[in-house]
Amino acid sequence: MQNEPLTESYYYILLCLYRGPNHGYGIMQDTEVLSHGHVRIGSGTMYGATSNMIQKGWIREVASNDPADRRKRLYALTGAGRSALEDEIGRLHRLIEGADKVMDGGTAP
Amino acid sequence: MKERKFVTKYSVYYAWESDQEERDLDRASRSGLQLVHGGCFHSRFRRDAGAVYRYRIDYRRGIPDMMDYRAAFEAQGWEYVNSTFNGWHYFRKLYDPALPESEYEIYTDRQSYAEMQKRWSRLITVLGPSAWRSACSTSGSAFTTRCSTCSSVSWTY
Repeated sequence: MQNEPLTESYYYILLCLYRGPNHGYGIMQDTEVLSHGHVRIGSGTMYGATSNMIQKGWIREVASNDPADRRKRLYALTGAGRSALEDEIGRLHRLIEGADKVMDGGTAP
Repeated sequence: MKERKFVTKYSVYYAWESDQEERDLDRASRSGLQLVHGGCFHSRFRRDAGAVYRYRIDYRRGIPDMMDYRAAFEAQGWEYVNSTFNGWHYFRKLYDPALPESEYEIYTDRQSYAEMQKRWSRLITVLGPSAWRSACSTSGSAFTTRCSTCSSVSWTY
């Protein structure tokens, strides 16, 4: 069976970790920029999503190199998380391809 | 006569009324009563007309590391107030009218909000259908408080 679509919060959290580890606040800020302010991830949503994704094995906690930053949880993408993100991007591409075919009046059935 | 600095209010909310409790706390804050300790049956407020806060309540049990949990909220400007023994956590943030209301949401999508509700509603199921029925059918005479819901006890009045 095909995987369930990710929520926007899950999607952006994974996306914001694609280039390297980040902490919750950094993920929240990057998400606002990437989504042009359309997606906000509140603290309750962020805490729940990161806890769930750690359980799923999509992200993991890594130790911070900065001693002043010890208290902040730093997250990193795992191989499984990368696949989940890439699967979702593939799914979104297929959705848009379908829309493009219809909207352009081209080869749509 | 000098006004007392602290005020205790007695109020009981159903588990599914945490939104209402948040609105009541926000209203109290605007009128100069700032929650300093939230509870199941009574809450303590400090008189301070100099600040307005937005209060939010989260429900989560079995948090492995409380400092990490609090840090997740503090990163977004929330101040931790207190937690009840049965998994309700109170946070507040200074209200700035220049900021959009979305700044004061802790659950920002439907799915995560629904998950939060599911966490406590599972405990209502633990109470068993008879407790649930009596809580629903005789509204007013028997009820499941936020407190009882979460500690699997129900009161009949």
